[in-house]
Amino acid sequence: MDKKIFFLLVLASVLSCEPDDICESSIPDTPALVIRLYDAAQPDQLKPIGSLTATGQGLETSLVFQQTDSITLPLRVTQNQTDFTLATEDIEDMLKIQYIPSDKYISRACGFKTVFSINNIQIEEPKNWIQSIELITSEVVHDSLAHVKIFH
Amino acid sequence: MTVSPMLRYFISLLILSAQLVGAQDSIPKIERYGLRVGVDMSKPIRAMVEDGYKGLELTADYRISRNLYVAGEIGTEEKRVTSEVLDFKTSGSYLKVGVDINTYKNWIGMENQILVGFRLGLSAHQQELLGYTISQKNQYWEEPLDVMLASTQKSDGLSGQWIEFLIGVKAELMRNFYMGLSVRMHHLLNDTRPSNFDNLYIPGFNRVSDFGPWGVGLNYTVMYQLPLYKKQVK
Repeated sequence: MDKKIFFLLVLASVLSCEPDDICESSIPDTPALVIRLYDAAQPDQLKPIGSLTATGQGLETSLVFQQTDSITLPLRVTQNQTDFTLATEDIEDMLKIQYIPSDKYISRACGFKTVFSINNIQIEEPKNWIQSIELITSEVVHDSLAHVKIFH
Repeated sequence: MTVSPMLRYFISLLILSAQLVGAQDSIPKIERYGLRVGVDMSKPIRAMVEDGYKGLELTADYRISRNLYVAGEIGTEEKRVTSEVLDFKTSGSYLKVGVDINTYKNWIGMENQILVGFRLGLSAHQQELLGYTISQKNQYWEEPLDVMLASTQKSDGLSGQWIEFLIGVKAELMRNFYMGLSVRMHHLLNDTRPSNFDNLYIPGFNRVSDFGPWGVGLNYTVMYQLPLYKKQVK
């Protein structure tokens, strides 16, 4: 009997610890918009870009991508529109994304994340280095797959 | 968890009481049978030391044979949890019904118990989400990620069902007045969750872990026995 009581007490004190209070960085949170770059001449071929600078509207810092065919752009969680200037070799194009953000519960430790449902995505006319843009999926729920194709 | 220092305190008390008792007797004797009713004193104590907590629990047990008691608790709890990423409030009531088995043989004229037992627990509660933080790894836009909900997200009609295993002691301090102490392991069987949120606290069950169905609880009761009849032990 004494052993059983002791065992239960040990179990109770172990379980009163809180291993679920730390948000693991591996847990997916607010996704970013994933864009893949394709060849305008051969639309099923990926076409990497030497250097691409993305600057959010009204911001001075830029996101720089080099030698890649895939870029990720964080969307604003408190607005329903995010605009980026996409520049390569000093040629600029303006990307406008309109969407409905909604907050989804993750866990006790991580809180919530924002997911996005895109209404409209476009490159402002006149287009410069970008030829066209195509939405693959309007639901930006996780950032492991591409959401948008840009042809250049 | 704020309950842990209290829990440790009560556990050491429990061990102490378990060591203090421990002799046997086999001489025939008279024992009282009756209904004990009481109140859980740990809830008002917890309300004093813990922010955002209120609770009340009434307990009762009825002796049906020499070592067997039908036992239960009924209570209400309100708990506001404010963490780095969440701010919510849970309130509601609960009912627990089960049995206690006395494993302790008393000296003549003493009626104390070392109990093991179980309960089935049910809650009816509601939850109000007041605010949260949006988790975003790339904070390029430097936006405020703390959201205080202007109209709180309220979820009614929530419930939980669980089973509890307990060990405890009940000691007669004065004639018909008992003090009881129990620690409990809770195992959540089922719960109806709020949409786009979770039951992170359930009245009667206590804190719900993200990782498993187990939880812990305790109660510290002061009980009065209404003696109904006496029976000679053979």
